[in-house]
Amino acid sequence: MQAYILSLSGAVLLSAVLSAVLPDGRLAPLIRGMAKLITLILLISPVISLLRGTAFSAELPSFSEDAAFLSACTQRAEREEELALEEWLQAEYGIAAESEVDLWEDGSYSAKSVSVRISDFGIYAGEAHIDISLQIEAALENKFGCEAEILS
Amino acid sequence: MNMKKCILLFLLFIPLILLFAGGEIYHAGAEEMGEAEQSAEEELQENISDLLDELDLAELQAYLDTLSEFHGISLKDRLKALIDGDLSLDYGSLAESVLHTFLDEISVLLPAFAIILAASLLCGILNSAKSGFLHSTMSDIIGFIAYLAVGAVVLSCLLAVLSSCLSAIEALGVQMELVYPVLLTLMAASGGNVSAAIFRPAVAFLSGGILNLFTAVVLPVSVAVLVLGFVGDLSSEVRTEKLGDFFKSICRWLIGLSLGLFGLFLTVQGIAAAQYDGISLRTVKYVVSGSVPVVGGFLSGSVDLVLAGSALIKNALGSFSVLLLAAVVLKPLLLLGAMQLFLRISAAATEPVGGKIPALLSRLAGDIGYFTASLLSVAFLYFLTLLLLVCSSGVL
Repeated sequence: MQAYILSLSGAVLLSAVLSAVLPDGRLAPLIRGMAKLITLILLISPVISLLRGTAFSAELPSFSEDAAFLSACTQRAEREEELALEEWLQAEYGIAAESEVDLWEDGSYSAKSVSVRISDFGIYAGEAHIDISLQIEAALENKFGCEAEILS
Repeated sequence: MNMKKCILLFLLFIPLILLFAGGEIYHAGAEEMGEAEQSAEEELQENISDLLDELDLAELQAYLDTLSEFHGISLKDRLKALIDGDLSLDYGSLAESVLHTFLDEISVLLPAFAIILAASLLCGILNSAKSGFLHSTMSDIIGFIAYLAVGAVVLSCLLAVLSSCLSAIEALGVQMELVYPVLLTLMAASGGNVSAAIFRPAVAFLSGGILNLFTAVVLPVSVAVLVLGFVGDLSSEVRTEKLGDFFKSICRWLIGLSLGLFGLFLTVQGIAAAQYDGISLRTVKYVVSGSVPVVGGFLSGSVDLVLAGSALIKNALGSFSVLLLAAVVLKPLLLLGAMQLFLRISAAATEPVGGKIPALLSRLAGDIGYFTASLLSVAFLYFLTLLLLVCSSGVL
C-alpha cells in the first residue's frame, strides 16, 4: 500500500513539475501526455492485478468440528444412557443386566445400536426367558429406533 | 358437659395441628426440592468442568497470550466465571481508558497540526503578496511546495492509522479462524448439528470471501480514493475527481452489498436452523419420554446434562469472543476518529488563510470514513455470526 501511494505521488509530482518547467515546443505536449499516461497506469494498477486474480484469492477456509470433543460428549451420554437403561430394566422387569449403548458421534445423540446382557432373570424362570427377552428387545427397538440385541 | 367441651376443644385444635403438620411437611418438601436442585446444579457444574477439560482451547489461549489486554488470563477460568454470571466488566475504568487513548492520539497529532497551520499561514501570506513584489509563478511554486509539505505530513499520520485499521481487520480474520471451529463443535455437541452444518459454509465465506474482499479490494480502493484526493489538486494538468468518485462508488457498493446481502442471508439461515434443531430435539424428547415413563428418564433426561453443559460453554465462549472483538476493534476506531477530528479541526483552522489546503484536509477527513465503514462492517458481520451461533441452538 505504501509503495502504491509513493509511486502514485511521485508520478503526479513528476508530471506537475514537467508541466511547469518544460518550455513551449513540439516535444512538450508529447512529454506531458506520456507523463499523464504513466500516472493513469499507476492509478489503475490495483484494478489490473485484481482482474488477473493475483490480489484476490477465492479459496475459502474449511472449518471442522473437534471430533475428540464430540466423541467425549458422546461417550459421556452413552454412560448415562447405559446406567439409566439398567435401572429401567431393574424397575420394569426386575432383571439385572449390563447394557451397552452406542450413539452416533455427530451431536444428534441418536442410537446406533443397543445390546443388553442379562445376568439375572429374577422371577422369570425357564421358558419365560425367551418371552421376556423378546419383549425387552421390542421395547428397546421402539425406544431407541435402532437394532437391539439381548444376550444372556 | 365436660364431654362436650372436650369434643369442642379437640375439634378446635385439629385445624391447628393440621396446619403445623402440613407446614412441616411443606417445609420438608421444600427442603428436599432445594436439595435436589442444589444437587442437580452441582452435577451440572461438575459436568461443565469436565467438558471444559475435554475441549481443545490451546490455540485460542495462545492467541490470547499475544494480546496485552488478555495476557496471563486463563481462558477456561474466564469461561467458568462467565457461566457463573461473573462478567466483571468495570465500565468506569473502561470509559476512562477509552478517553485517555483518544486524547493521547490527539496529542500525538499536535505537532502535525502545528506544521499544517504554519504551512497554510505561509501560503496565505504569499498569496496576498502575489500581486505585490512576488512573481506569480514563484508564488505558485511556493504554494505547490506548501501543499506537498502538508500532504506529506498528513499522509504519514494517515499511514499509521490505516495500517492499524488493516491490522485490526486481519486480527479479526485470525480470531474467526480460531473461534468458529470451537463454537461449531459446541453447537453440534449441544444438539445443534443441523445448525452447525448450515453455519459452517456461511462462516467460512465470511472468514475467507468477505474478509478477502475487504482486505484485497475495498481497503486498497479506499487508499486509492485518499491518494486521488491528494493528487487531484496537485496539478491542473492531472485531474482525478471523476476517477475518485468512481472508486468511492465502488467502495459504497461493496460495503453496502456485503452488509446487506450477507447479513440478511445469515440471519434468515440462522432462524431457520434454530427452528429445525429446536423442534427436532423436542420431538425426540416428547416421543421418547411420552411413550414410557421411565425411572431416571433415559434418552430424554440423561443426555440433557451434556446438552446443557455444551450450550452453556458455547454461550460463554460467544460472549467472550465479543469482548475479544471489542478489544481488537476499539483502538483503531479511536485512531480513525481522532484522525478525522484532527483533519476537520485543521481544515477549519486553515480556512481563513485560503488556498487548496483546507479543501484537501476536508476531503481527506471525509475519505477516511471508508476505512471506518470497512472496519465496522467486518466487525458487525463477525458480531452477527457470533450472535447467531450463540442464540440459534442450545434450546432444550
